[in-house]
Amino acid sequence: MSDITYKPGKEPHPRETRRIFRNIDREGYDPSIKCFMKDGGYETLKKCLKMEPADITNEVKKSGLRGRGGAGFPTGVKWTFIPKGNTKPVYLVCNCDESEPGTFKDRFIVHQDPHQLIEGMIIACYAVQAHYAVIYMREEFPEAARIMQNALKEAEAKNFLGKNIQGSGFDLQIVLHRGAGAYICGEETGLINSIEGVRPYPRIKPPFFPAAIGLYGCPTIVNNVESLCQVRQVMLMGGEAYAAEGAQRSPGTRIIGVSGDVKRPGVYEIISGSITYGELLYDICGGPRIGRKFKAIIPGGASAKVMRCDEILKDRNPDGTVREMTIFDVPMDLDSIAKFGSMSGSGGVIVMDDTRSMPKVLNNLNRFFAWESCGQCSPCREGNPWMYKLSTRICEGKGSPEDVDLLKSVADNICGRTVCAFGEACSWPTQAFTTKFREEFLALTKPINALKAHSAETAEARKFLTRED
Amino acid sequence: MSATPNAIDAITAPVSSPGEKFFPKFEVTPELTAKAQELVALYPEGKEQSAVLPIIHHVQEEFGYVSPEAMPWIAEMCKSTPIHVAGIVTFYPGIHRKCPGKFHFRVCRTIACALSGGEELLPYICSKMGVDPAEMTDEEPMVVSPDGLWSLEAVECLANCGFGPNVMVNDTLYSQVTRGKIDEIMAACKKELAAERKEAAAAKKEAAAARKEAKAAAAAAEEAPAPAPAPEPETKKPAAKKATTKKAAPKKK
Amino acid sequence: MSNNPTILPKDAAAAEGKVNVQINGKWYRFPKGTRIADACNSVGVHVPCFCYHPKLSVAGSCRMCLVEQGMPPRLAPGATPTYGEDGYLPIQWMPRAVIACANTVAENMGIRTDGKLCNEARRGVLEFLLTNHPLDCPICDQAGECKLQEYTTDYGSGTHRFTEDKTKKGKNISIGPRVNLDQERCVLCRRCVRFMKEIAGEDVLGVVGRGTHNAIACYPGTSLDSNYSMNVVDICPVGAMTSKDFRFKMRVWFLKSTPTIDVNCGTGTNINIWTREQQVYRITPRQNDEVNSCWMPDSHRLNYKYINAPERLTTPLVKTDHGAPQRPSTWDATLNMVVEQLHSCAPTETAIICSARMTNEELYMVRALARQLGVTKLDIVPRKGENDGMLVSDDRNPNTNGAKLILGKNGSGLAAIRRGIKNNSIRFLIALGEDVTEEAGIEPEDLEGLDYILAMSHSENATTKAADVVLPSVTFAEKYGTMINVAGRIQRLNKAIEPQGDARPDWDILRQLTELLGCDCPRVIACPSPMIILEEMAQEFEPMKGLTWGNIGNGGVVIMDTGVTIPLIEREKGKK
Repeated sequence: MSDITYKPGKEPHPRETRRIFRNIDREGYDPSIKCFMKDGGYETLKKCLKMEPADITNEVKKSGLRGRGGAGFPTGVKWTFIPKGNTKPVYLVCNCDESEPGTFKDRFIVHQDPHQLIEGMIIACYAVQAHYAVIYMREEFPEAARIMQNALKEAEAKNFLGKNIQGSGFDLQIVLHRGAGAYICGEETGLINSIEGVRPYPRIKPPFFPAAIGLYGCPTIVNNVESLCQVRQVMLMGGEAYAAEGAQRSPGTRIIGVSGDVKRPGVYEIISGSITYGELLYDICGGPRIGRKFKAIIPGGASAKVMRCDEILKDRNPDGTVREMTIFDVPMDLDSIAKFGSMSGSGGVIVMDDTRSMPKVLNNLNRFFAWESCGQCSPCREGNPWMYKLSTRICEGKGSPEDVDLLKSVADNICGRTVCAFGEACSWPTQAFTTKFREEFLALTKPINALKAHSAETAEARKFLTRED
Repeated sequence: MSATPNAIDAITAPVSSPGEKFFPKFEVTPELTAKAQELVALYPEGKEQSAVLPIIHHVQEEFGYVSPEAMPWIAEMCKSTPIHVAGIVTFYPGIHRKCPGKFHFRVCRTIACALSGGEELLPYICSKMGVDPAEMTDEEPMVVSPDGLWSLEAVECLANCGFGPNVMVNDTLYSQVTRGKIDEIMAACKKELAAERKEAAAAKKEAAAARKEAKAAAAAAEEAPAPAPAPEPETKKPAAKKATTKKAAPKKK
Repeated sequence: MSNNPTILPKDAAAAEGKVNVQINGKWYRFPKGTRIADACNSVGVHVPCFCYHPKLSVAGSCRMCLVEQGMPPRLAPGATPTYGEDGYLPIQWMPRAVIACANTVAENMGIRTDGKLCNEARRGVLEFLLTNHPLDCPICDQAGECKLQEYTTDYGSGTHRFTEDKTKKGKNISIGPRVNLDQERCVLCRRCVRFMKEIAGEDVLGVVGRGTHNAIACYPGTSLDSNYSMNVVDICPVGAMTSKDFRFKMRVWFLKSTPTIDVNCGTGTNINIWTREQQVYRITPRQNDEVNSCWMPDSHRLNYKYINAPERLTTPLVKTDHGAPQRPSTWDATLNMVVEQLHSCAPTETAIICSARMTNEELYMVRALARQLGVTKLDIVPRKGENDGMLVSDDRNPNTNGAKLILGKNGSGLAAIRRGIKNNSIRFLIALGEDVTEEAGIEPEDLEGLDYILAMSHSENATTKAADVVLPSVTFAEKYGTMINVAGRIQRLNKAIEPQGDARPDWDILRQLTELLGCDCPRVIACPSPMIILEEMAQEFEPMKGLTWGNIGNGGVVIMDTGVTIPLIEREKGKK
């Protein structure tokens, strides 16, 4: 690594391990194929093309690589879900919708190192024998779309795409498909519907598990940008070597995006589980702004349940004794935080300090989810605007203490009853905020508000229930 | 003339916007059809409907927004039906049914940007653009300035959360935006517009000169063909198409 | 018993291609692939659904059919399953409810619809659906047969906690010539969208907007104008799609429904007639998977206005002097007069035009009358139209097959009768249930040249106006009887209302007339009802052998092979 220099002011933190982000902000590096190949790019692909596709899948399975889109499903296992004896075409879709608030890792890859993704995709396509692949890129990345389009052309010119790739007999076409600003397109079946050109409603599972019935009704593998880059990394390092590094159940490096109230927000690539939240926020990110204290952390994208920084978490040691800790002592792998009721998800850490009003933060999230609900299924379509209206009213000081319980209850009624995971994503913040920061919500309410009509319209409606004379 | 359209007629009711003067009016040309066919060809046979978003993006780049007249054409191009195109157009917030201004500002207001002051930028930008912030609602988050030069839209997460507040102007992302930076950006936009106008004027002058020359030549030859019409001024050049080359990469502190 | 190594339930079920499923504690057996919702409903455990419709693709979006589901715990590698005393494996219940419409049953699966998990899920979903619902039940046509109303009473909480502003959408929009749309009442189940796409094949409906602003719409300038558009009114679980014809006419709880069949074409679509106080208010399709599935064409559905129209004949009319106008009379006097007049008609100069719109029982009586009179010039009026490739048959008579079977006539003799009237070889005409100036093609001037016309009809028409005697009969809604559809299926007509005024059922008029003419055959004159006539016919006609009113049932019975199929039904079967 010593031969790599980074742009001034953009040097990686010493505790980082740059693998996927090796070329991000690197001095003299540009998104061209020339740059990428000078650095050993597409060599891994050439090696892979000489292997049996099933061996690549096995290698990825061996590596223990888990998806980086948020759900953390083992990538290699996902690939094996394509039905045995399938005769339909297989498709691979790269999910570059990066729409979970707090997550901003993929944008660097597609803007600065597109060929890394393309190489990873070709390897994955070869492994699952897909001859047609789609990069679904969010509309908010117009620059990246041009860069990626150009990179695809370059790769085709060098015969890394197209017919008979590098003489292997393997054909592959990759198409760039741009979204149009909808969060729900990050959900894999919503994304598939978006590519099909219908309203991007998520599909019901069962029966529409993409690996069995996906794009155009054919088996489809949907992988996140970072996951596909990690696939390349796995094939570069070898599955066993990859598995040996980092947390046992979620090996490899992770890219963490830190935003909010820290001195040095940004993206950092770390070995999974090698540091704790405390080390990340204090050592790498420089701690809270001057004179402030950390108050709350959303550990894995906007939909992850918020954690209180002063909350005592209890964990069990292997010998059965109980160990007390705070969020700062929790290691940054995919599973540790789940023990305490939240999730590490897509690696977007949002930090709030003691100047922040938690009801207002929740209200912002509720607006996001109310705006982004696709409206297909009843609980999500009707529940999200309700939660938003309730939290707005509480923030405006027009709520009653009962409204806080109602807010939580509405979230409980959505959670677990929807077509897709959006139901959980939208209800977890409300459940966690109203439980963990209940006092802040109650402080904004007044009992008298329970008797008030909350809008002109409801006031009118209530007239029918009261005698005026 | 007629009362407010009902909820169904409203789907294709034209929404006028001052931004329209910076974009050509939607018109089906052989080039446009060829482009649509090219986009359709990217998808497997029989899956023409997949091209609906790409075609919409292209229409938006060329004409600024998806006008009511464009929808049936898009449906025809991707072998879909107008109601399905309407279903797509009304679903995605990234598809405009009202023409934005020449310089379209998208301000992120989701959590991370909100924590760093994104929402506070909105009233400031409104005042700079000369639009009423009250016009921005949850249902219609885009406002266009009366001169059509500017438009402002509050959007959800732009995926650059560490470096908020984030603002996108046409295709360019600006991070860690302050009021001062807004002033700079708007000044640069005005400069760009002036340069474009100058260029257009020069082109017009050149064309006029060429015409004059041709006329003279025609007079000399006495049977010269009619002169070619002068190219139209700035409206030919859609703003979205012009990729500003400003550095988009986010900065780290 | 546990010591007795009997066959395990799972093996017993597998032998029949079935699986064992426990529903609310009781074990049942269902064919593999049965949807949980269908399985539950088939054993009387009601699963509420908005979006699920057995004839449409599964949307799974209303979330109303959430049920608690369990399966046997997954075994550790190498472990052997331990069956309980009843031969089943223990069920491990899942913490999340699943939708009953998309999931299918599996061996040893457990379903609970009466537990806390399920009840809370249903209550929650109903509360959500009601948040933005306008609650305008007092003026909504659907009230009384609204799933949202019913489920709220059954599973809802009774109070509401939503005090915010509601989302506004379009109300009372004319979305087609026969259907109105109220977007606020809609629960966005998309049954209508799926119906139009998958069944009607006219993809005109869609969803626009997003999130809470989602709404059903058609593209401006297009409309829901298919001849099957009103089926969306039937399948709409709430009052979002309403029939313009039925709008504000009657509260549904005042209506009585009678299962019968449609008589507008040879398909014999199964229907319900909805009536109150001898008035027909609407017709809806009745499910019969062999005839019309769950659907019917609008053209047939709306063709009921004549039943209660002022043109109905409610009393016998007679004309004693040739040039005099018709005057009302009584049945006894009229029938006696007719008998006298018919006695003086030469059988060779008499023709009977009857109708393939008549029931089998009526046709049987027509045959008896013709035999009694000795008339051989007898036929029906054929009606041909275009087959719409769905449910409308090219045969626009509902009982052509009945006429063929009972009279041996198919309309081929009609031309001869027409010629006979023209050249005066026929001087006496008996028109039964047909306006002979229409499809029969007899010109009104030719009618005037006849010496005697006896007409039996339910409504006034050119033939009754020209007739010497008019016998008022009834429409299909006022009588019992059977008809045989194009596919050879015999089906029952049921009486929904009493005959208008003094009108009498056709079969009864014909029977009485035949008796008065001197017929003494007990097989004719002793028939007190169409059911008995049917039994008489069952003894005579081979295809009807063994038929009784009871064993035809509400679904009908195939009694002959005609080789004709119903396109929509074939498509539906092909999908399976």
